[in-house]
Amino acid sequence: MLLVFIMAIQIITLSGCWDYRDINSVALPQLGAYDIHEESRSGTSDLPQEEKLVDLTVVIPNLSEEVKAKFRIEKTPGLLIGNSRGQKPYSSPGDYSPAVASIIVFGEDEAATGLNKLNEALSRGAKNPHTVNYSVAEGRGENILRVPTDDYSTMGDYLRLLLRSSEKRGFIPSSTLHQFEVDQNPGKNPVMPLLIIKDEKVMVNGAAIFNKDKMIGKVGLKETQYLMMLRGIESNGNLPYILNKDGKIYDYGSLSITNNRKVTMERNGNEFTFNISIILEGGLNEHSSNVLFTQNKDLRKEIEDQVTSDITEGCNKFIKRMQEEYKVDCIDISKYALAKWRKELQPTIDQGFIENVAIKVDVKMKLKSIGELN
Amino acid sequence: MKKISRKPLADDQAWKEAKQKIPDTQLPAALNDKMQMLQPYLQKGADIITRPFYLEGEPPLSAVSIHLNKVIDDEALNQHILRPLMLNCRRESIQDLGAQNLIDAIYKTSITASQIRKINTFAALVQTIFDGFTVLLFDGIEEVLVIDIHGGEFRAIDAPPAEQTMRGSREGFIEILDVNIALVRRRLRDPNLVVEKTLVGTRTRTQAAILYIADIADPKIVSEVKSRIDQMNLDGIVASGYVEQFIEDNPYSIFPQTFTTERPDRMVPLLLEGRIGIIVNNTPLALVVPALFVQFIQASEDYYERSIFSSYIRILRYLALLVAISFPALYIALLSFQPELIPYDLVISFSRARSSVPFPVIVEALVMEIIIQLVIEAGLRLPQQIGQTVGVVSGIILGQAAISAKLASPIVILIISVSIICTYALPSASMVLTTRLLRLPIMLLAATFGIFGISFGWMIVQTHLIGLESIGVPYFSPLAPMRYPDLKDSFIRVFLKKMNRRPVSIPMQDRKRQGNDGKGPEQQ
Repeated sequence: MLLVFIMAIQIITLSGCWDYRDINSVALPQLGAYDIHEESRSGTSDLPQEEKLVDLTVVIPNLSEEVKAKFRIEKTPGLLIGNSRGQKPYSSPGDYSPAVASIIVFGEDEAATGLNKLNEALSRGAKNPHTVNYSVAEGRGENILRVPTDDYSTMGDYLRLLLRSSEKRGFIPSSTLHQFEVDQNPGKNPVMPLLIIKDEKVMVNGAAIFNKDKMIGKVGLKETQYLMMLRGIESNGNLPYILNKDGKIYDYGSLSITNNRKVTMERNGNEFTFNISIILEGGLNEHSSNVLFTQNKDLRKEIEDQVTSDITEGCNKFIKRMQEEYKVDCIDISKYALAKWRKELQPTIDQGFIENVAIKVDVKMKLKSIGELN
Repeated sequence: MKKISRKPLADDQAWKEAKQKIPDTQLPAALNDKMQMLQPYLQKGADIITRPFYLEGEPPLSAVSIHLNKVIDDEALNQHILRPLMLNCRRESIQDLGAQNLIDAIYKTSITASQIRKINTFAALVQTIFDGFTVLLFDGIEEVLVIDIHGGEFRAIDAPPAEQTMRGSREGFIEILDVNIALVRRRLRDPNLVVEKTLVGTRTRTQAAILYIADIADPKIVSEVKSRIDQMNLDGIVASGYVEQFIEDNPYSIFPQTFTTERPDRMVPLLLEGRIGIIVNNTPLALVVPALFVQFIQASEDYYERSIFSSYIRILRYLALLVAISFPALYIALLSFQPELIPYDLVISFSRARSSVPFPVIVEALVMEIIIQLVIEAGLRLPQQIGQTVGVVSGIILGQAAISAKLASPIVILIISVSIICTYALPSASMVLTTRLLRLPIMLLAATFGIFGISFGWMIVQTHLIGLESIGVPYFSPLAPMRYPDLKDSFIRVFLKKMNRRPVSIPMQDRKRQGNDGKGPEQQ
């Protein structure tokens, strides 16, 4: 009997599970956006300018089938994420359960101020899934949430499909809470998909480049493609090509490509040379029927050479921009140096290292399938 | 946990004396005296048939046949006993042959029934009559002939309803002990198969047979089983379930510690593994001990199908066991404590389904669980046709009505239904009952402590299973204690030709089951 009593006491005290709440009484935000508070932006906030308030806007699906609107959008300001959540009870019935949110969109300005203050609050909650997808909006994040979606129940549904495993569908980076944390280790920097509103539709328009938790730049779709290849994010995407001969286009088409990366490194004193080998494999989707592979036995090689040349040029331009403009390692190669000389390099790896290394790119392409006999 | 004492009780002697109320005296020679002594017993039993007759001769010998109505084979009585005695018996007088020689001459030359023995005490006479034997009493002879012509009406051998197989035998045990023993014997023609009969119940005097293979079964376990059966001090049993409850190690456990089967082809492989079978008269369910937990997830079909399919089905059954016990609890825990663990689309779907239900998740789940358990009970007790109707009506109409009345959401009906289906995917009826019972406390733990509660519940269950024994054999073996060789017939079943040795979880004398341990062709 005593044993049973002791066990009962242990269960009660150890459980920590007296947080029963019925699912019916929980508000389940699907999508959240963090922006600098509008008053802060205009300098009308009571707080000093450096203590900017944050606006938290969420999309919460309406659960009752008797309600016409499928979802509601709620916006609350606060000092930080927790404080902005704390405002929810005043305007939103039900226990607010942020942990189920599957997408978070950061406003461009908010991202530029640094996301760790928000990220810490998200990471600290043990219930928050590491798989919550991060993205940056051009302009304010809440604007993305307010774009009408006719084909999807909510913008959350749309963005979830758009961003989750996006690298499998195109050269689009995906970032999660977990990945964002990992990418802030020494020698690493996060990247996130960049969302824009175009023709009343939300779409990915490139990537946001971060220096640790602060957004420092944004690149377009083409550069994002090179970023993905250089960074070694294995993707499946579509590449167009054009073959010129004597100043005239004689074939063009598109390829379905998967990319891979191998990095080797050499050190000579304080000079580091990174050799990035980008391996592309794929097949021909389509091409202009002016030339047949059966007629031109070299056509396959010409396509491979042309794509290889284009990508090498694009990658070199991106590397130059990275070293001269961003001055952070957004292609994730510093880790190879750290792996060998961590003690020596770790204190300075994020301060002037990437700008001073030599980076050589070698692109290899194998067009495996062309859809014609040759 | 208290265990039933296996030591003889202090009042054992009094009990034995009470049993021996019938005077154990020598029978008198005169027929009238014998009938006079029997009169108190005969007058209480309207079903006792006494048939006086004369054996042909000069002077005719007066005799009486006594038997219970419809317990014996009337045809055998007439053709093999009464007819030869009344018409064909050419006897000498008692004076000429003497009583001993005369009765020997009668049963050796006149009675054609095969099972005959002689008794000469009054207590034995009374017991044999009520045991269903036919007794012949002769005037002037002390000894009485006891003839076994049991018969009468009984159920024909049929496919066992609760253990159907696609590829196995269609024969199942019936209510007649001797037929059941014969069903086993027909499949196991080993001269070392021992069949020991005993009587259980001082008043019902129910026959029980203990079966084992002498050179495989562990003598200590055999002795322990016999001892436990012998110590059953009760007035009567009507089913093997009584024996099960008396011989099990831990009566407080909800897990079955004896394996029940109604298939002789299930019992024979278990006997071949060194287990002991107990068949009780009037019960089509035989018991097999020692029982292991894994045994209750195995079906006879597992050994008839090829091992890949058997293993797949067996893994599915383990999954079914988990789902049957934990699925409603998991639903309660996730919706009440950890909705974050549910994929977003699903949690919204659950919430929308529950939005009109005014009760907490646990109440909703409990209501449906109890309703469905009652429907199952009603279906089992009702005649088959009505039972099916009740099942269909309950399934369709009650479910719809519960949703319409906002007593339950569609998802909880799905959850409970899936768990019920999984429950009945288990091949053992005993384990089905255990699963039905275990689901409830796990649900309550989940409602109180969330997923932690489910983990805690399973921890208690596993701890209990690890400590449990069946006739002194660890119940959770081969998992705890770990018996690696036996894993080849636990979660999966390896190829039959690889199962060269008997499982070590069951103590036995001879480990070798087949093959010659890779020593090349067997020398005959």
